[in-house]
Amino acid sequence: MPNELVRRFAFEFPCDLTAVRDACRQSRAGLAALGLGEEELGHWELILAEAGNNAVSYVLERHTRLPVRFDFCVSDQWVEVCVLDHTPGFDLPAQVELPPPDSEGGRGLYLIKTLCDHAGYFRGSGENRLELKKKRLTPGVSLDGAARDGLQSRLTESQTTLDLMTEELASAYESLSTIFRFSAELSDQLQPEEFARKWLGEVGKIAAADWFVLRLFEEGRGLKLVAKSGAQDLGLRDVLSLENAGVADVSVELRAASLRMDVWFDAAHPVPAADPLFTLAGRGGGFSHPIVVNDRLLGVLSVGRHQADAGFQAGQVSIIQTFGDFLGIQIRNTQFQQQQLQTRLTARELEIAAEIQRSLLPKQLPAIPGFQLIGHYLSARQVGGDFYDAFPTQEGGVLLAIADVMGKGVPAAMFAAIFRSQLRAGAERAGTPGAMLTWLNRSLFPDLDQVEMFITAELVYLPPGGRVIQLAAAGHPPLLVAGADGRAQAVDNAGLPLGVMADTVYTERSISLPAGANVLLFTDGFTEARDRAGKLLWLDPMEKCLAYAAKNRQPAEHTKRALIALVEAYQNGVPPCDDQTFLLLAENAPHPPPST
Amino acid sequence: MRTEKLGDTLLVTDIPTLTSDTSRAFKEYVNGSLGPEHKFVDVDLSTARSVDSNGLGALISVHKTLCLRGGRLRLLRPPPLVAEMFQILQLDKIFDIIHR
Repeated sequence: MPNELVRRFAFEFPCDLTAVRDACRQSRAGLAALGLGEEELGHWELILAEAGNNAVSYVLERHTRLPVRFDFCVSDQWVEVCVLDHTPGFDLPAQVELPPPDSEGGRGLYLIKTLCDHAGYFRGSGENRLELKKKRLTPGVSLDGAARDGLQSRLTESQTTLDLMTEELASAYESLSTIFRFSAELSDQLQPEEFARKWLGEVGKIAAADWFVLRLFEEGRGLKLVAKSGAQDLGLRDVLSLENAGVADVSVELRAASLRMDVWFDAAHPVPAADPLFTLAGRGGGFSHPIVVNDRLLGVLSVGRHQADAGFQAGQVSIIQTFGDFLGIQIRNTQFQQQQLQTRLTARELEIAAEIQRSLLPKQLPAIPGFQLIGHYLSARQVGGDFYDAFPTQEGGVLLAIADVMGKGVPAAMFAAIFRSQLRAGAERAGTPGAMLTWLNRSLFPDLDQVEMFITAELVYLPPGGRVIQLAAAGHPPLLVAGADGRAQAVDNAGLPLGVMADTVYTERSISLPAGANVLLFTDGFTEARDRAGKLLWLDPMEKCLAYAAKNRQPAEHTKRALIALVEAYQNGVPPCDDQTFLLLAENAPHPPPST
Repeated sequence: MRTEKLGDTLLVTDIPTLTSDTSRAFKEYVNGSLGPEHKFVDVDLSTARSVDSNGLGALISVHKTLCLRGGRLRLLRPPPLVAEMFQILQLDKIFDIIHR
């Protein structure tokens, strides 16, 4: 309204229907002094009567002592009135329907909407605003002396109003600046609980509260105590269960949570002796405020004073409610961010573990005359500690190794790496597979024992040109051996896993390879593969598969595919719980005699 | 507020306001004044400085009582603003409004 004289004045009156009439008459006089015509004065008197009646008729019981207020802003073209009420508030529909003709009520809003050019209703914390706007039918007139004097007196009233508003604004500013500082500190390293304690203390000072208790909602548990004023144990329960209706009857915090409304207590409505808040709130006054965002309960903030008759002012209540809501949201966000960070860290850890795991597998397996050697490694979703290796020894033979480190992730992958390097180093000095496991156990025991981990392993030594292999195992699944006769056997030589006892001595067992031998070293990820019903695969299907391969003198690559297909078909889409690893030694089929 | 009994009609006059703070008293006063012979109530609104929706509720209540007796409520000489309100709320279709 540039270059337009705007007059402001206000009427504040007790929450009483008779006072509404007086306020309407005074408002009419005030508007008449500003040159409004009879018709629009009548309209405004009616509009204000309806608005004032509603503000009085629907006021919350605890707010009946608070005044209702008409704020006027009159320009040459418009009259704007803001009606401040302390009702629970309502939703003002865009279109208000007329009630049935024989209904005795329900026409006030229709009149307001019809007579005003604009009507908006805004709910606030403890105070709501009905904003009404109507274009003037009679434009503003220049003021004579008497009117000017009248206006001057109203200007003085307005100045008082303005001072009050300034005071409220200053309070709001203080609240806002606190929230800004609060947000800035949120990014620091404080734990949410410490953070909440510190900042609720600040809010307590601003709102002149003597104590506070903040509880946040935890799924499946209830309202968990997160922060409270003071260091002493006040007998507050750590968790209040929302499912216990009996407690809801006596707990103002639970009532606020279940009603999703502020629950007040004072001398007239004291906190019951059985209420967990009684120690704090038993003789004082205050309220429990539910922190609700997007219709979801985040927690309950309770604030109070030790004196029952020292109630909070509307502005202080507003600060506490606003800050409580903001704090709840921020703490929830912080917790969410921490969960996200943890998820990302875990994912990164798994990537690292997988990388280590891949680097352990031999890039090329040694060539063994008369045999094919082939390996397979399938990582489960969570990386485990499986690995296999094969390398020639000084004697000209080949050592086959397979191992499974207990556990998942980086620790398991790290021990697999250590095991591999120790295995290669030990192969030079220890000699037989049994001696090698004995040495490996002594070497790894201190580290494994410290972190309470263990390794299962199986070593097979294939001498140069020989058909008698040596097997040593440490808590590992048996070796499968099948021959061209179509028979398969599981050869067990289990000792304790590595890392269980420091002085375990492992021995090897010699096995003569049958003609057309297929030898399978594998980890328990195969035998413990599960079908959709959770049933384990066990050993038999693998034995049969290997026997069939040996009998038919299948190439190793073919047998590998058959073994993988066997497990996949059994799992039928169920993801493996553990790594699946094997090393297959398959004797070549004899060359057919040259044709003559 | 005064009443005058005119055969089967009760005439109500000198009504200063018919608003939220007076509507209940109006309703009780009229109902208390109704005799068994009264089928019609004429409410003279010419002196009513203000009428609001609560006052209308009181008029509708009396009207419903009269309808049960086979009668009705008539409104006499409403001020322009009150007449406009009846029109806005479409109550001019329910009440007999006599402007003379």
